[in-house]
Amino acid sequence: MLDIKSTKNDKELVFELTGRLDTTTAPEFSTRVDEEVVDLNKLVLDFKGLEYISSAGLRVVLSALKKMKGEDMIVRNVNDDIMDIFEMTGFIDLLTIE
Amino acid sequence: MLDNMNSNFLHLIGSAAIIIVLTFIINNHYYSLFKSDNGKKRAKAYVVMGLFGGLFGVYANYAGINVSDAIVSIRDIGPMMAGIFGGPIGGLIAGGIACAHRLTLGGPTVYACSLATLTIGMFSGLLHMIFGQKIIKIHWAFIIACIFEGYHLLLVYLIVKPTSLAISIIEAVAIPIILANAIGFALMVAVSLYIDHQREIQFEKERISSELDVATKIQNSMLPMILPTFPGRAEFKIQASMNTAKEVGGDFYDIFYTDDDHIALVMADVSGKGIPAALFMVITKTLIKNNMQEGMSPAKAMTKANQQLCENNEEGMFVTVWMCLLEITTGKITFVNAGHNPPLLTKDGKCDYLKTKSGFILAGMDSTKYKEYEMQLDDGDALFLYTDGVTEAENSAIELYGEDRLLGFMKELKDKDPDEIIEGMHKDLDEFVGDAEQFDDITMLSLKMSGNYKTKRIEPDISEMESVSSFVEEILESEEISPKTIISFNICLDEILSNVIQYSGCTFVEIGVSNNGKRVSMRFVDDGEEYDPKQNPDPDITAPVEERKIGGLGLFMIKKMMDAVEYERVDGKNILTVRKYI
Repeated sequence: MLDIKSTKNDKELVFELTGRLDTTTAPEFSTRVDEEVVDLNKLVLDFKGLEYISSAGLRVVLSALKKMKGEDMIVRNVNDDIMDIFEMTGFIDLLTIE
Repeated sequence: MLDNMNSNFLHLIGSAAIIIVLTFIINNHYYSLFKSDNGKKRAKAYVVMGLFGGLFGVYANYAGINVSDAIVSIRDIGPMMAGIFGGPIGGLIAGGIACAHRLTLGGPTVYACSLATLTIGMFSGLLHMIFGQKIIKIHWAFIIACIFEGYHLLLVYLIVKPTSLAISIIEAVAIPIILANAIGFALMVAVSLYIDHQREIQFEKERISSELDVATKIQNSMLPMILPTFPGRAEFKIQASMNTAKEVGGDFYDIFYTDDDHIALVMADVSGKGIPAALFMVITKTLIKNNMQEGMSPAKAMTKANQQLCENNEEGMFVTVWMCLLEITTGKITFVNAGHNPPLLTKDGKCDYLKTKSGFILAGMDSTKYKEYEMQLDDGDALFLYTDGVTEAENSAIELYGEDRLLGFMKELKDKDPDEIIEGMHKDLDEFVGDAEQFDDITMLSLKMSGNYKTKRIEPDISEMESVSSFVEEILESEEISPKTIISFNICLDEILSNVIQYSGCTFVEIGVSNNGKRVSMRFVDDGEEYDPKQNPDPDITAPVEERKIGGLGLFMIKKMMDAVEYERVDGKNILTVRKYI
């Protein structure tokens, strides 16, 4: 129940996620991150279609963040429920949320 | 003359005191030897008797009164005692010792008296052989002593020469010697009988006390053992306890199924204490249970039990009873009260006494008709049943524990599980009562509803998770739960289920969802390794990116999102329940 769409433009990559990022779907997203987050200077996670995220999803977000090694990573279109999770878990301090 | 009589009297008193002391010593210290089946031990007792008898004879010789150079003494009591109690062995030893000592004292009657003492010891021993213990009656002792002393004087008459001297001696001493010996020996037997009697009373007391102990054990064994909670049907939890004040009490509780979907809870207090109360308790308990298991409603079962108890109640005993029948699948209780203390009800998080119009006490009047009431218990609701031993527990300042303190304390405990509630109540009662004695039985029963769950059972496989998620969502959507709450439950489901599937090593997981209109609960039952997620430390949510860990984050999120996280381990299964008010 997760649809992952990625658009690459030079060294800028955008993931558009639709559905749920949980234990069932996180491995797929993790694979995509491993494959595609390589040599970028900007990564955008567009959560417009994302319903919610569990800790399994947070793990992938964190690994993406670590892979970017301080390069730009932006999370946008975060809904209230996911924002609650980010706040609750302290991810709000790690992420640049638009 | 008066002085003489006075000094004789004092002598007699002194001898009586010696007799009493001696009898006490022998009876208290050698009793078990006399009664022993072991021949050696009995022989030892006989020898000891002989020695004591002999020593008494020696004492009596010294304490005797000199009349015309003849000694008036109660020496013969020694061999008599030794013979009657200690048989031929005792009699012979005592007679021998007293006789030998008498020989050393000389005087005109030396041979007659010595021979008399020796033979009296032997004859007494023979009496013991012929009549055994039967001889030891006070009047018999008196008569035997008179006969022996008559025989003693006869020897004096036959042996002492010249006969005129013998006659004058006999004339002078006959009455005092016969009376002193007879009274002394009768006194000894009287004391001995008294001690025996006391010992029997003591035995009887011990026997009754040990029988009461057995009665207590039987009574306790009649109380139901705690019911096992079985996963998949863990709709409620129950814990109960009873502490009796005296050995046997009149309180009882009962928990029994009437069919697959109904369980009855009974709390009762019989008037009075001890065996009568315990017997009445057994009858009442049996009648109520029989009537309920025949399918009667609580009110009917009580009305009938009341008539049955009234039929034959000459003693005028009565019972106060509070009983309810719980319909497990719906949480509906039907209850009836026969003069019992109102239980405490915790409903929707509020705790108060469940006061309804009470019926008359059970076994009070045969015309009593009981009325039943109904009430709905939902997930998290609880009942606390008790007897007046709780509210009327007294401290050393003669203050009662009281209904107010009980209510106040129960409000503090309302979120706890039944076993914690019972334990907590005991602690609070102990604290209140302090060193004061417990006067009444203290009996309590705690019931807590765990919800009416709709359940789904899966194999521990990640691929099953989506179907569980749909299952939970469908239930919550059909109950018109807000999308936001559904998301919270979905996330919790994902966190808990993934944990259980990946790490517990279970062979199944059962997911249950329950909604009581105010609170949604989701429960996970698995047979994996024991794991209490509540013990998990919270993760550091302020660490920089490089040091961030995901482990523990899921459980942390659950704690934040839910209003309650409860864990218990039952029958080798983990039961984890998360709850959220809606």
